[in-house]
Amino acid sequence: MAFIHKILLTCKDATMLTCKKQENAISFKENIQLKIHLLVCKFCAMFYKQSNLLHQHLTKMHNENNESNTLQLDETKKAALQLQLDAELEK
Amino acid sequence: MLNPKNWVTLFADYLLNYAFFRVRDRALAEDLMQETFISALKSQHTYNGTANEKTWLTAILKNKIIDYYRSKLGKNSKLTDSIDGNTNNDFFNAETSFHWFEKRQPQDWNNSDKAIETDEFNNTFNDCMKKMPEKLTVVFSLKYIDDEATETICKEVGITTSNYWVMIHRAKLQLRECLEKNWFKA
Repeated sequence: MAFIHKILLTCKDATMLTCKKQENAISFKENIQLKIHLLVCKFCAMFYKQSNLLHQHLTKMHNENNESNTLQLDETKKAALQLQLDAELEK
Repeated sequence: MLNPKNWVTLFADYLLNYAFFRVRDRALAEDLMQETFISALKSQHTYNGTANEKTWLTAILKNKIIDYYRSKLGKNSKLTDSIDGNTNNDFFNAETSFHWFEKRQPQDWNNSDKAIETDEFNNTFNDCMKKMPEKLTVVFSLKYIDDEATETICKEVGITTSNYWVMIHRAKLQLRECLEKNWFKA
């Protein structure tokens, strides 16, 4: 069993490498090991496909947040904050 | 030359958005922005004029965000123990050379490409994020602090790179399973 997992990886390792691959943190050798594992394990192959979907969604969510830049502090809060800073400046 | 009288008018919205993008919590983002101004006032004497005002304030805010992440992820945070070593939380069976536990094996999602374009999906997605331990959702935000390498960011927030991967791995396993149960198979 131990020998076969050196070549094929365990499902635990294969899913971990899947996560690393999504962030470009996988070595050439690991990538080949992962590809072989995915050929013979349908569950990890599904995890690979589905977690890529999640990864894309997370990235999209973050980018939309970043681009929107639409949050505004309302004027009352701005005035209060300025008063607080002014008081701090007086010290 | 610093001009604190103009800070709120010029930079409050910018800093609020900067913080919100990285902590995804409006109230917290407002607090961090406010604390940034207070800290900046108190350390005016450290400003040497090489960076412009906005860059200088942003650097202070960034440090506050890193402090926040560190408090959620670091060695002293309360959730450290629940990340690993809890066998009830495991997806893989140590007794079968870490194959999937049968009841946690991924199932086929039908029409998965189409399904995620809707608001309902976003709601389910957000619910699943909320169900996860906070430190796992925080870990998703880490790479957005800055354009720095994972190792640098991990060092700044006080976790090891291997711990980062353990958390990302667990977060994705949990998120995938939750979406399967509540969306694709619901």
